[in-house]
Amino acid sequence: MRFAIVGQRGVRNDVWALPWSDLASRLEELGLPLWNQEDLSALQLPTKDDLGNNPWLFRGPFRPVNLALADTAFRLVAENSLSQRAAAVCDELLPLVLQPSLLSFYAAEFSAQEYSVHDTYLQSNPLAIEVSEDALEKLMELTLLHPQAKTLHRTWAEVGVVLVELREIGWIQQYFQRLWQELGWQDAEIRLALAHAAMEMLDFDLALDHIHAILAQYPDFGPALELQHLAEKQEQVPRDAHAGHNHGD
Amino acid sequence: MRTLRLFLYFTALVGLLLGISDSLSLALGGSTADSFLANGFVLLALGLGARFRCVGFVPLRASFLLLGFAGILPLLAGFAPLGAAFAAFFFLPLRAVGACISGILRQQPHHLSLLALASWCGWLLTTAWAPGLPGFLLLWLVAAILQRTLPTPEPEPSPPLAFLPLLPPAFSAAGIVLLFLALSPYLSLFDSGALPQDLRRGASLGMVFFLCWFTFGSGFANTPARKGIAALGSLALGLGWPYFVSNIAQLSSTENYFRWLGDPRLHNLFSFATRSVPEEHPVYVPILTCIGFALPSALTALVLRNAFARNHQDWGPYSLAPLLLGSGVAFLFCGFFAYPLFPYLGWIAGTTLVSAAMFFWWNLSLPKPLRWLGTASLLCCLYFPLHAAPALTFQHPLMDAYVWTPAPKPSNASWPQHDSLQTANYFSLPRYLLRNATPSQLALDRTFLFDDRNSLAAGLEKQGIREAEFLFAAALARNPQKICWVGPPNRQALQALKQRAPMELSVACDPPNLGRLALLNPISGESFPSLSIQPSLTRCEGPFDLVFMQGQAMWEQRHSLLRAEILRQAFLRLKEQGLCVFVASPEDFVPGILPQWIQEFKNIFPTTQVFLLPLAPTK
Repeated sequence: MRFAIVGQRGVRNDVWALPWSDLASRLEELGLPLWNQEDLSALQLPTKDDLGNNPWLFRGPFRPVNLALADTAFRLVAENSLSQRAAAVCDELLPLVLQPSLLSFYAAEFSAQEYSVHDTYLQSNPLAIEVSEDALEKLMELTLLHPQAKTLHRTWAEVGVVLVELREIGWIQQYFQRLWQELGWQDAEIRLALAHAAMEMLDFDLALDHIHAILAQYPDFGPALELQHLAEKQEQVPRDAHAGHNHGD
Repeated sequence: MRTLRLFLYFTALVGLLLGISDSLSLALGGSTADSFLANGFVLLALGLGARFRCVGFVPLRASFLLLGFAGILPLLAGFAPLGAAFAAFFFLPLRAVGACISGILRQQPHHLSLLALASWCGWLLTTAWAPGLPGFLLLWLVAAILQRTLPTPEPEPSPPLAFLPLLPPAFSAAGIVLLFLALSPYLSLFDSGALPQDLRRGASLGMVFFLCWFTFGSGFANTPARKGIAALGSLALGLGWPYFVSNIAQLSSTENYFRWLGDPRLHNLFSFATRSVPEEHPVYVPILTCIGFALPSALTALVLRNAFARNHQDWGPYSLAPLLLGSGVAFLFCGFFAYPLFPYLGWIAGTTLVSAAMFFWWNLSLPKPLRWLGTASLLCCLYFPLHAAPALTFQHPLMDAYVWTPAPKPSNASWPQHDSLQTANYFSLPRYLLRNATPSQLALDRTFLFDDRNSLAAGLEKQGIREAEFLFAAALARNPQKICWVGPPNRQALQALKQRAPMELSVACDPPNLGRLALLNPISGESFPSLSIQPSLTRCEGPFDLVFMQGQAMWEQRHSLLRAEILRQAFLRLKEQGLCVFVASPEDFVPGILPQWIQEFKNIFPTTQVFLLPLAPTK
């Protein structure tokens, strides 16, 4: 997760510009779909007017910020200090943001990281990431405000992979069911997570329903094909992997 | 009590002078070259003042009052010529301070060591405390109060100027400054370069320095052998610079590094749990600093202590002035010629120090033939520093999850002859390192850009994030035609945009060769075209559609973009609807920083918006 602070020289009268189609396609490939204003507004953090009371932090001789940032220096064994620091920074900013935003989700998510050196969100292995109900609630709250924001679809897809890996069936049913039924999301990733949950509960028929819906949309979707193969044989997904991911690489 | 008062006065005064230099550097643009110009300006003014026997024809108290106003110089950042013009007003007050210090030392020459010790303490204090502008003003106040309690030096008629006695101390001081700058890229080769590490480095170097100063230095300073010792010390420094560099290069090999830091005696002494002293351990930096730099530091103490006059008649009244002037001129020289000069700096430092030895020898009270013979021999010694070629390949002995080796220069015909994958410059050693890999990853690009110990390039996993945030900024700026990238640029991200839209790129990166290396493809040798690579935003010609800043290794002062002055400079170089975009991760900050940084944006830009980009590493 990254913060982007944008300052414009002139006063802005209209809305922020969206990427042109070529750029938008590439951004979507990179995990940042921005096709309309709702996608963009889900990413905004409208802040209060008065945010700080330490004007000397960044200016003049002997800037205190240089000493303060020494704690962020690279450490060979960082354990979970990165996520703890990220959580503290997000928590500090949270009361200064005027409306529900992704920040509250990330603050809760960072705070949920508890364990070892591998247990940070920087890990690409979803097995090494913790999720909390608080974080999911915050994400759902924002989703209800921006139900069509593609950026949130993408975030839920990422969360889905983690929840499947963690075998958090209850949460998948609680949140992904809602996304599918209440908000009408038909994303392949959402249905795939629901298919996984159904298979965990040995409801192979329901799992196949979800899989067929995905394959009707994307006939070559590898994870769905793999899951279909297992579901038809009424076999569960192996414990150390989920369809579409091979941790042996 | 009087000695203590004088020590405190010197400490506060040096802190104040460091603050003035820092302020002036920020007003000029904030790059390393700007800091050299600022240091040179301050030292030159002090040195010119130190020639006088009293206060240099300027009222001392009024001068002190004026000096405090140097704190407003950073407000002129972005208007470098105006900042320089305003700084000129501080020349006479600084000269008065130089005359005051010189007057105190003339009355009590033994306070020279006190001044040296206080200078070190002043640096340690401001580095460890980082008090900001309020601290600067406090130092100003303390120095002003303490100065009132000191007796004003009695005015004396100025003696006639003798040129020859000025040369040895002036050349030795200039040579020492040049040598320090020539060795500066290797100072933080093995550590993060964060302020606490700098503090430990400065403290350990200072301890070695003063150990030599108070033992051998002071021991010889009161004997007739003083000038001879100074000559020998200068000669050793001048001829030894290639050895100092090679010594660090040798230390960087894995074998030597672990031989020193994995010594069982260190294990027994400090009881750490790892194979060698870990980087976070308080003794890590002092040990490496002493191995690499103890010898030049001790020799410097020997030369400086013996370059000073034993009494008034020896070098005349100019004991302090030539040292200050010599170092000031050296800083100005490096400031004006700056980055292209660096590859030759070792040779220049070597010849300057050998010349200093020659002048010291010439000033000895020896029979004339012996003086001529010695001077001629030393003249011949100039051959050695001029033809020295120190080893310039530095390994990376530190291991994380990977083992790193210097990336080999590809042997294809298209590779530019002049380009190298490692180019040292002031306080910076940018280089490409190769990461070890499993067989399945061998075909991938595994070269990473490092500056000293810090990795600046995104890993394979994070490259997508770097690209996405830059494209996001470009999208908000509505197809920007003219872009300025502040800090080391990301080549792949720039290429991604260039494939989709034409653009002109300027880079503000300190040192510029770091930016040049970042734009270079280490495999093919192709470089991303840019209009210019400047050391600071002040020197980039706008107006720009987009000024883009990416927070990287911000714990190192040199890489930190968190300066209000940079935002003001960016504002002045943007087109009417141009955007300034700063991106960083939450873990790049600590609590207490980010809200105030957003506030700085709000203070400077009429429209400010914060976005949260939910980007995850590529799986």
